[in-house]
Parts: sequence; structure tokens; C-alpha cells
Amino acid sequence: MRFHHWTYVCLLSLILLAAFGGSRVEKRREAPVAVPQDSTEVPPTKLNSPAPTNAEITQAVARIFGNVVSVPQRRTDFLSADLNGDGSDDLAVVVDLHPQGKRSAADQFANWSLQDVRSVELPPAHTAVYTYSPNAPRPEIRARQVLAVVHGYGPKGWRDAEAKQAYLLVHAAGDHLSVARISELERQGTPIPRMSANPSWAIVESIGNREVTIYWTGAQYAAADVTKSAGQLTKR
Amino acid sequence: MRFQKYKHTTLFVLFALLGVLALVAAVPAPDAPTGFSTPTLTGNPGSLSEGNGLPFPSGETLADDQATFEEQDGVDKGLGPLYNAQSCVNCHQNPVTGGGSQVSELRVGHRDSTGRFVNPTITINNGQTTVIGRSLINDRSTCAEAAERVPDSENMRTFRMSLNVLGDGYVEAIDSNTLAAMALNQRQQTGGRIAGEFIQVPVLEAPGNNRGGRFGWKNQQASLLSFSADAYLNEQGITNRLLGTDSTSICKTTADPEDVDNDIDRFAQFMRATKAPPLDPVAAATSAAQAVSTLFNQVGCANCHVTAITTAPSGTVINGGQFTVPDALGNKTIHPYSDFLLHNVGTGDGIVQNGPADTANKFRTAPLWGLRTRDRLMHDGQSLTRNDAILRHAGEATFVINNYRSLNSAQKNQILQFLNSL
Repeated sequence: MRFHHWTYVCLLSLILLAAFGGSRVEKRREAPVAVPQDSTEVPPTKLNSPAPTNAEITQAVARIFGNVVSVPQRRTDFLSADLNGDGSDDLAVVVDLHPQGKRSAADQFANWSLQDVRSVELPPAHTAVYTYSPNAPRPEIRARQVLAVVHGYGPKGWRDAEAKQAYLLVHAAGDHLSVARISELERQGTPIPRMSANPSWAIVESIGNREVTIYWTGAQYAAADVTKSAGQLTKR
Repeated sequence: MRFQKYKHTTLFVLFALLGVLALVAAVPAPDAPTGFSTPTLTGNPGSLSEGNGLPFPSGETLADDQATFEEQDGVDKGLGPLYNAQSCVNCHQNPVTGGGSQVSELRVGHRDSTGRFVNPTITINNGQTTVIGRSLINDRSTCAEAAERVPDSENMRTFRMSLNVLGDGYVEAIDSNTLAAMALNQRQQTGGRIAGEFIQVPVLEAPGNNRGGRFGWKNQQASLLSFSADAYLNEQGITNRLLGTDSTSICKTTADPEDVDNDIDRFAQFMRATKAPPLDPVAAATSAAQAVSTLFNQVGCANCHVTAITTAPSGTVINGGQFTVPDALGNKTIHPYSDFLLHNVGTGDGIVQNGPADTANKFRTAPLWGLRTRDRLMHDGQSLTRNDAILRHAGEATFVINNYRSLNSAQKNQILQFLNSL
């Protein structure tokens, strides 16, 4: 009987020790971490996608913008290319703003970003001190048309139902949309200040009597006038 | 016989104790103290500040450490030749010492013909000297000859916003294995759509030791002492015992290491002693905010903006054996709204820092604690509204943001109001 008594006393002591003193007795060292090395990014494998049809474009625009904008039926200015450099094809298309849609286009909870391509501030070259003052007013839509851009997702690009990151670009709706390599534009003297080296392609189009490039800066779309020698640009 | 007599009582006491123990084990770690409680003071720095309970060595105080954090260094203390600011507090101050700010730093670089990121070669001193081996461009110099300018060839030009360091002692006290486990769980729970990358980086004060990176936009540092040494050199140009060489010797008048008082220890201790950023007490107390907290999880934001993490038990030896987690930081629940992992959410700028090449387009999930004190959002400060910042997420975050898109305006507004309570 006495043996059992001491057994219980010892057990009780151990419990008390574990409860109130155990954690402070010995130090624990952070264990080394074995990290699986499988995190290498694989760019999406593009499908050999056919040329976009008007029906596909209309469907994509409706999916994202609803009835705020529509693809003009008389003539569709569009292109499909990887504009943001994520390896997935994006869509750029000139769209008509519905007369009642201007307010919706600028709605603060809209599912797209409304941007004025002329109001982009970027860090310039050749300066030691640069003060960034992003005080551009929210774009005011006066034109009847804007350029809609839908960023692609995965191998299907802008055709993917998940591709919903989208932009309505003010002062960017032009004619004769094509794409040119950013490196070529730069080589020919067109400045493309940007915050990401990922994009390889930029839109080139005519706005009025000017040739303009619209490109992804890493955070938004910006515009720059194409230098005159760019007549020899390889466009597609 | 006597034992037999009390046998049932003894057994009852034993089982009751075991029950209490089980309850104690099930109790979640207590929340870390929160507060913006390090007001910036010029006359008597730190005199009104309140720490998180971290004990200070004899003769040292939070006030002294805060004064060192706020100290304006000059050329006599080793400032420059290239630098961005004269003091830690110049960038880490909003709304109190240790918070973030609107100050950004400039990083540049380019890609070679194989697509690999290359740090710039910056020519200074009328073409006679080059600064190499880093993407950072310092905005200031102690003499005109040392001033850095961005060459046209460096066509990747981006900003990095100054980060909050309040509560970073708790972040340091998170076991690296906790971060690695979160990365694994995230992958499993989202079918691989979200795959935070955990990287290990050198602990400068423990040569030869690596640890899970958690500080900086690229998780380039794992300990607050390493972070302090890095910032003292690269943001203020002050060499120290862990990083002893300036990026240039043009106009340099002081001998290395310039941090003769070991200020880096005081910086690290100050950050370890700060409370975590608090919620807005009024906004967070509303039932609407509490309901939206659930919506935040349902949409999927909390996959990466993790709402609660428990720090390692006190007594855990971390940072390659150089720091033991004290009671004030150990076994605490924090609410950083971050997983401290690197993700590609479509905002990458291609710049590689401490991590492997595949981190070029990844950033650490921005901790959302203290978000209500920020106006310029995301790593480059280019998103000015909460909604724009959300919509800017793509890549790994695509399906989460599409969930957000499917909310009605009232629900979106609730999410934004919730963010404004953090």
C-alpha cells in the first residue's frame, strides 16, 4: 500500500512540474527547415490559339464590362498579345461607351481599373533625387470610345473565364492597332519608362494624326508618342 | 490502509489536475500587446513611449533605444557617401516612430540576353568610379561627385515603399518551420493555385547559418539585427560590424566600421520592444467589422493575408543561436494579415535580391496591420485606393480577386471599411 502511495505522489509531482516548470527548464532550438525545391516558376504554355473572332471578343467584353461598354459592330479594332509580360495573351479592343455607362465605368467599386494613359508618372532616368507625387485626378471620360484591355490568365489567355483583370483606358482609343517589340521602339528612340522589365510587346496605334504606343508600366498603362523613324517598326 | 481510505480522493485530484492541464494546453496563446505607443519626440525621445514588456539589459531603456532610432547621423558618424536618409525615423515614422511612411527607395536593373536579372553598374565621380552589386540607387550623397544617376540601359526602374517595423519582434519570433508549414498548407488547400515561396537567407550575426526570410519586400532578411545592419549600410551609408564596406569610398572621411557604438543593436532592441500595430478601436468594435472579418476569409484574402500566427515558445533559440525568444515575445498570437511568404500576384518588377532567380517577380505578402495609416499602396506605392490595390492583384491571387469581383458594392465597401480598421 505504501508503494502505491508514493507512486501517486511522484505522479502528482511530475504533473505539477510539467504544468508549471517544464517549459522553463530547457531551451529549445529552432529546428532547421527542409524546403522542397519545387517552387520554380513555369510560364504558362500557350495554346496555339486561333485568331480571335468578333464573337469571342464581344463575349469577353460582355463577361467583364457588362453593358457599360460594347464592341462596335461597324468595325472592330483589336489585337491579342502578351502586353503585361506574364506569358498569357491579353486582349486590347476599342469599345464604345454606352451613353448611360460613363458613370458605371467610373464607379469606385467597378471590377476594372479606369486609367488615363496620359496621367502616368514614372521614375525618369538621369536624376539623383526624384519626388513622386501621384496627384492625377480620377480620369474624366469625355470621349465616346475607350480602349478596353483584358489581361489573360493561364494558357487560354483572355479567353479563360477566370481572366477578369481589366482596364478601361482613356485617351487610348485609336485606329490601326498593332503591336511592336518594346526593345525595337526603344532602339528607334521612343522612350518607354516603366517599372517592370517583363513586357516585351506594346500597342502601336494611330490617334488623330499621331502614332502612339500604349504599354504596361508594371502598374498601369501609359502612352508615349512614337518617334518619326518608327515607320520601319516591325509590327504585327 | 490509510491510502486505501483516500484512494478515491487522490484519484479524483489526479484526474482533475490532468483535466486542468488539458485545458491549459488547449488555451490559445495570448494576443500580443498592441498600440501605437512610441510617439516621435525630438526634445526627449522615447520619454512617452511604452514597450511590450521586453526586459532591457541593465543601464538600457526603451527611451534610449528610441533616441538612437531617431538620431540624425551626420558625416562625422559615417553618413554616406551614398545614402537615402539620416535616420531610421526619417522613413519609419508614421504615425509613430517605427511605423511606415510615404518615403520610397529607387531600385533599377536590366535583363541580359538570357532573361536573367542583372544589377546595374552605376558610374559616379565623373566616370572614374563604379558602384556595383546592388539594385538600390541612393537618392543622396555627401558630395556631388558621388551622386548616383540611372543610366538609360537600366530599363527596370521601380520604387519600394518604406515598411512598418512596429511589432517586428514578434515576426522575428515566428519559428521558420511555422512559415514553411504555412507554405505547404497553402498549396494543399488551394490545389496549388496559391503557392507561397519560403526562402532561407543568411543570418549575418551567425555566419554560416540560414533562416526563413521575413523582413523586407523580398524577405531578404531573417533577423532584426541583420535587417538593422543592412539598413544602416544601404539606407544611411554607415558601415557596421556586420556589413563593413561602403558601396563607394568617394568622399569618405571615416574609418570602417563607422558604427562604433553598435547602434545596430539598439535598433534591433527597439524594434523587438515595440507593440504590434493596433486595430482602430472604434471601427473594429462594430458588428459590421466583425462580420466582414468572416467575409475576408470567405473571399480567400486570408489565404495569404493570414489573420493569426503564434510565435515560438519563449526560450526558443533562433537566429543561428544568437537570440533567445524572451517571454515578452514568445508564445504570443499576432494578427499581421500576412503569411510572410513570397508570391507572384502579377505585380513583379523582375528584380532579384537575396532569393533565388525565381523570386524575380515575387513579393512578400504585405502585412495589413496598420494599413489604415497608409495612402500609397503595394510595393511601389502606385496604387492609391484600396479597391485599385485589390484589383491589381493577379497571378496566384486571380481566383481570390475574382471572388471579390463577384461581391456586390455593399459587400465590397464592407471589405474596404474592414481594411480601414486595420
